[in-house]
Amino acid sequence: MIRSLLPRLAGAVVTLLLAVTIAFLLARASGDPVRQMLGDMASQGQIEAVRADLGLDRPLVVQYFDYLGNIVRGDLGTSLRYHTSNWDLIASRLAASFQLAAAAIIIGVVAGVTLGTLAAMFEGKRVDRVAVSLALLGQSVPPFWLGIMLIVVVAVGLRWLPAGQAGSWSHLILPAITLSTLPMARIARMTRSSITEVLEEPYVASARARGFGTRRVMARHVARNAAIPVITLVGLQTGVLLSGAVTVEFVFAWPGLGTLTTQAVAFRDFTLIQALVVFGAVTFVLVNLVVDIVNSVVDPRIRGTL
Amino acid sequence: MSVARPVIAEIAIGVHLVNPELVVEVHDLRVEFGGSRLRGHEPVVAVDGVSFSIAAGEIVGLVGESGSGKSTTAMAVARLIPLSSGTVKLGGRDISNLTQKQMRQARSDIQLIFQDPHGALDPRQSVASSLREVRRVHTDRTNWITDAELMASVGLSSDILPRLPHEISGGQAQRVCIAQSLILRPRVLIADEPTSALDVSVQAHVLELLSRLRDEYGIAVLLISHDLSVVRAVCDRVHVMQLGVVVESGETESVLGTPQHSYTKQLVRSLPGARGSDARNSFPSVGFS
Ligand SMILES: Nc1ncnc2c1ncn2[C@@H]1O[C@H](COP(=O)(O)OP(=O)(O)OP(=O)(O)O)[C@@H](O)[C@H]1O
Ligand SMILES: [Mg+2]
Repeated sequence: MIRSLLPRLAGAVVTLLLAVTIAFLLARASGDPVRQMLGDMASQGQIEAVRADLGLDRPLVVQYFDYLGNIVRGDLGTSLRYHTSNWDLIASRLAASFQLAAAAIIIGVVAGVTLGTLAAMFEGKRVDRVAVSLALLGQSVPPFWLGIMLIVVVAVGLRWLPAGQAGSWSHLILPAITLSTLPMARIARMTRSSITEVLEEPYVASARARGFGTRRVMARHVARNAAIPVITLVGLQTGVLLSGAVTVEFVFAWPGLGTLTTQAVAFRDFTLIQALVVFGAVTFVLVNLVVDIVNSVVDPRIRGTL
Repeated sequence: MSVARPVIAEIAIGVHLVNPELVVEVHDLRVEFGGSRLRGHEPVVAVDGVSFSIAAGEIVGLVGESGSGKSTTAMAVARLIPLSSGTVKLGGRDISNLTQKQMRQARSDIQLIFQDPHGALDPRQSVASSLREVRRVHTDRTNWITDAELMASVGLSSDILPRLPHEISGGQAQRVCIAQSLILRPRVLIADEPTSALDVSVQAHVLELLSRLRDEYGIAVLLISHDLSVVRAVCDRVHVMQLGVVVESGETESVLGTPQHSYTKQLVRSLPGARGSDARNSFPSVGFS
């Protein structure tokens, strides 16, 4: 297993290197951060001084390898704005983001899988049409709009739930629902198509012909065979959500990585942006490795290849 | 394969050995697909008034070109798709109006073998685990035989048991499918093109297995095929289907030897290995090991 894991690890390293490089280039391609930090009033002398201080006067290649070296040592640099370690900043927001992502992915998986399974079992019937419409809706409603509507109706109008910021569990509900709609819709569609496909397989007819009941056929034969693409998608969505839900956190003033990203961009805190991208990429790659391992447990045919 | 006995010779005896008890009686079976009066769709009539019967220990063939309704007939007789009208009797008992739950019980009596043996096996389930599942669902029906005995009776070694479907050959997979049916001691086995996905060299062995099970357990077999040489090799009687209707039936030799209906004549002319003794020669390994 270890030996066959090696190519995957190599792939992961290449992915990370690409992400890290793109972060480095983007931070420098979008204008001079020092000039924007100091504003128009700064003199050329001041600007030069700060540039030298940050090491930005060195050749790009030198900066790049310096940056890579720091990442390898686990040093994500110091924030230009907060003057503390970027790693500490990320760590302080991690719990909030993780909580929101976990809640959203749980809602998304439960609702998405239920909806998709019902749709597949009643393909072409009314249940299916309703489920497909809901999924389409979930995929096309912009999260910021849905978030604002929920705040206006549920929080401000009905006063059932708080409108923003973290705190008790009730603070979590609206942002989690908002954040879950897109993954829910994607998971529902994937579940539907995957189950529909498996239901056509001769081994399903064969299981029914042996006198197995619907529940057994669905749970033991259909679910396990339809699970792989759904698990993969859930993993991808988890990776996306974990690295910060920028819009939803912004709308609900949720103190997570998404809000930190918004602030970092607003203040052109390019070391923090780089740190966030590196963190997001590492999270994403790790989640993917976990997905590969889970899939190999679910499907004995893949076991040999991992 | 250990002993390969001449199939053809066996059948000649088989005809006379059959128990006259009728296991399957299909009367005026009709199956329609996709009609919707609301949306003004005309239904496709896939099976249009088919009647036939099979006695214990008899192998009855169902032939006809693609789309003539053979598979639909099989699925409807096994109640895997709804019948539009007509009756199906299993051992004298009308099963056409059983509820799904009652039907699940009756399923151990009527088993199916499909064309694509790998497709008919859950890719994630080992042979042993699939047998265990059948045993769990039909506890009382399955304890007459051990897994090892079962494997031996379908001509497989017990080494197969821990394997996953992708780790066995097509011929082995088809034997596993037959074992999954046999473990239930069915009274009827419906085999829908059981050999057409298999290597020619393996086809004869699977047919030979089916006719051996018929001999040993008195199972009634409905063998669906578009290959007339297959039908000629193992079937006692044959029904010829065209566009959802049985156009000709009778003893295999007479139907294929002196076809009466123009469609049968055309079928016999057009399909390979159908005529006379050529058919026997077209099965390379039957009986000559
Ligand atoms: N699920 C379905 N929905 C609509 N029409 C169907 C369906 N299944 C079969 N049919 C139609 O019913 C007719 C009979 O099909 P069937 O599969 O029984 O033929 P067959 O004799 O088994 O053919 P083949 O030799 O190709 O297996 C065909 O016209 C087919 O298009
Ligand atoms: Mg067919």
